[in-house]
Amino acid sequence: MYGYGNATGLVLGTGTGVVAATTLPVTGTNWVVDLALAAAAGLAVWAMVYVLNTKLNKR
Amino acid sequence: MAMKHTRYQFAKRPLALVIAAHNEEMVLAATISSAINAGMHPGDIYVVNDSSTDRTQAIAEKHLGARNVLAVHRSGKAKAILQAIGHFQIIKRYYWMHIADADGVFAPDYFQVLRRHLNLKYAAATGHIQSLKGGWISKYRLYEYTVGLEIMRPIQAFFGVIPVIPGPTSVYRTDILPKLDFTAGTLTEDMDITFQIHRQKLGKIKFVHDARTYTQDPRDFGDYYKQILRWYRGNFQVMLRHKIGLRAQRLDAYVSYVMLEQALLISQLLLLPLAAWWLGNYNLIAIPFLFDVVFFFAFTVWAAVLNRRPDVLGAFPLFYALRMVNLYAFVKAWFEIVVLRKFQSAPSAWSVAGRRYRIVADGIIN
Repeated sequence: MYGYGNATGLVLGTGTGVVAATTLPVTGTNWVVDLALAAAAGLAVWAMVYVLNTKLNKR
Repeated sequence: MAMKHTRYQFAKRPLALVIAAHNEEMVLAATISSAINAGMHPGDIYVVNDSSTDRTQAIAEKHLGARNVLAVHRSGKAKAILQAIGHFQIIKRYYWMHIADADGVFAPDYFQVLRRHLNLKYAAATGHIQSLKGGWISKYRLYEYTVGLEIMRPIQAFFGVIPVIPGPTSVYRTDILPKLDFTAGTLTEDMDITFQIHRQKLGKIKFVHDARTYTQDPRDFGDYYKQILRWYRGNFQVMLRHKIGLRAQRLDAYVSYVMLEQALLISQLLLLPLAAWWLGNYNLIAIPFLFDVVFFFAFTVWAAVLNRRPDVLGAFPLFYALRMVNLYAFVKAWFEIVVLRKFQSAPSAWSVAGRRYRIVADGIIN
């Protein structure tokens, strides 16, 4: 089944990435590194939501 | 008894299915039923029960009759199959033998499609594998199987370098069976037997893309790690045993290329962060990472669409963890087998404890 949490993870992860890329530049000058950090942050949030959702579904 | 001998005098039948089973009560009935539904006559299905302590024997006899079930002392998969070949006179009675694992599910037209492509000019054949529905590990495997079998396998088949006829879908022309050594004692006997076909130049291996089987994947991370480590250890055992890289066969070129590719990836992962830090240029990490995310995600979307499995996308970020684990297991196995020369033989290792689970009706999505 296509779990609700999967879509939530994708949305939240992408959102985190976009926010990180646009408002929180780490280097301020190197957009490539900022984009990579944003992608990593988005993936991390997405992964956490997926794991949490899986654990909640098991209950 | 008399009836048995009378039947064996008839002309050869096209295809036998031999299922090796060790404590498979959870899945065996579903696998046999799936084979029958996929076009196998029950009389051509054989189970070799490798010293099971559960209801495997009873289940097999219930579905196939006692004469199609052989119980053997603990032998390991390869030796159990070998005993089944002798006991059921497979070489004398059949043109082709299909070996299958007890945890597989065949697509409804599997044997029909397979039979259409079986031609005696080939030495062996293999079909398509896909994961049964499951957790995040099965989702990752779906990605791996899709890339492996939709892109890599046709290329391997074209160049005649299929490196492994995998356990769930492996078909051998019976006249080559006496030339194969089933007792090599490696952890990946299917790969070893495939390499024997190449080394002895027994014939081409046919890839039947449309013959689809479904297999179970590990359900938790511990089982996944054990499985992937066993596979890599087995791969290196087989490569050493067949002296890959030292012969002038296409197989040597292909396997060497795959090893080189892995080695380069590991070097990149280790050296790029160091180089970025040393040079103060973090683009060296950022650019390859961004490319990786874009292409990896694109291939995952493609795999999800192709298999009509949108649930696969949900676990995408976790696939990175499994890719890293794969690389770690690769390096560990290489160090153990090639450098330390450990695990040089693997007698009858065949453990499924904790790995099997009941096959559910909606396990196959398409």
